[in-house]
Amino acid sequence: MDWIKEKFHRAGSPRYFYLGSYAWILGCYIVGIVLLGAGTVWGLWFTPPDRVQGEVFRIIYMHVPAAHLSQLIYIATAVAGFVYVVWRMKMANVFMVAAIPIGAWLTAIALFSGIVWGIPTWGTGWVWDARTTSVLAQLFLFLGLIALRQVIPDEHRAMMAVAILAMIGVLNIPIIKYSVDWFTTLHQPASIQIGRPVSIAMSMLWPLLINTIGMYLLMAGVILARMRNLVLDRERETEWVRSRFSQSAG
Amino acid sequence: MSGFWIIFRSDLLVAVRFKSDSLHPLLMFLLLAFLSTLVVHNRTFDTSMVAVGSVWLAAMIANLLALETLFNRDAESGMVDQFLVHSQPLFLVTLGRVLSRWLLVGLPICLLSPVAALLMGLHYLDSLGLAASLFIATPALTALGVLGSALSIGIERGGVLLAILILPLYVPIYLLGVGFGQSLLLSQFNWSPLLWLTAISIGAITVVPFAIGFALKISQEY
Repeated sequence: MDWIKEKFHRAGSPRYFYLGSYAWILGCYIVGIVLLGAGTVWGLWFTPPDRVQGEVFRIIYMHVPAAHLSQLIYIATAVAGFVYVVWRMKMANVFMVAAIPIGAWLTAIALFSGIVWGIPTWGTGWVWDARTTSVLAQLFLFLGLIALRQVIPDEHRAMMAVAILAMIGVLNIPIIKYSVDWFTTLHQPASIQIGRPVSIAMSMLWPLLINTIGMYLLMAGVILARMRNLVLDRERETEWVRSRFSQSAG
Repeated sequence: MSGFWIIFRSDLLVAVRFKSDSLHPLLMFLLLAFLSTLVVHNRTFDTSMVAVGSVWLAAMIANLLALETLFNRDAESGMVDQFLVHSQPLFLVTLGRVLSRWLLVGLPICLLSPVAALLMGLHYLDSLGLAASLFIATPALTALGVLGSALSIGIERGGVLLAILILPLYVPIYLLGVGFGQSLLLSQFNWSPLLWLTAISIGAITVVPFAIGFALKISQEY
């Protein structure tokens, strides 16, 4: 167990994070782009069109991964907020700063692709039902977190406040998740659920799964890269950063 | 006397001495509701579904506007520091603040909401149902609003920020409340939204005061 503890402590140290993260970022980028490319090509060209929806259904290959991942990032931000509030771990702070804009963009992509899909299929781009509204609320929560961080000048205070708001906002996640089951919404219930037979053809499912994994890895890479830059920026006065860059410069 | 009673009593006393502080939100609520009636109360087609949403929206916004300066005066006069160094649990102090706000703003808005609903042409039974759902939901609305005002202590033009931070958190409550109101209008009475609102309110009163206390600590950089 001791080596796990040691790994954990090392990951929490900005210096070891900076040194160790490069390989992970590279791996995430390469595997993520390959999977996302393969899944997208498969989904757009080799999967047969849907019997009811026609070609439009292919938007799910962007829509579902983005929507899914944006919720995951929200939860991860709240967990990181908890870690920061309780243990004051520097890296939790860095993760929140790096992840929040990515989460906001993914939420925006999910909403936009949903609108594009909805215009031909539902006959309307936007409906004020529980699912769409609660996802829009998630976008505003992300934007609220960004706004709160910007108005408080002190970095530590700002991120503590952001952490509290993020934790309280987790209330919205189960509402998004179960809105299609609790309320009568225009948005259909999930086709893929754990413990139930999948209600989607296998030829359509595979590209979706590949795309989802690809999106996860690519965004993990983006967040890690952003964290790496933030670490460098915040630690620029420290000895290890100075010595590292004076060496490479000289 | 425990911290809860100290702050609860002083808040009520302040409200009695400065009556306008607690009257303004009510006036705001009635004005917002009145402005909506101009559009909503329409004889050519049925807009009662929209009326439910308008009453809820007016209640939420009036509730938030009352909270902008809630902690600023305390922070300037050193009261917040006193809360923090007090030997009483911070939870009791913030709980007292939430309950006094609810009594001064949330409850009067509930009591006035049937009037607003009747103005918009809802049936009186539906109006009472709407008031009941607001009665159940306002503790959660108030608790979250107080949290927002604690987070925006000392920020210039905190009011807009407060709304940006807190309105997204109101969305689930709003959806449940409006869903309940619309089920009343369709004569499909349904307990489940009310039970959900009760659960959210109880949960908010239990958890959010801790978060408020924490936000107060952050604002004084402890």
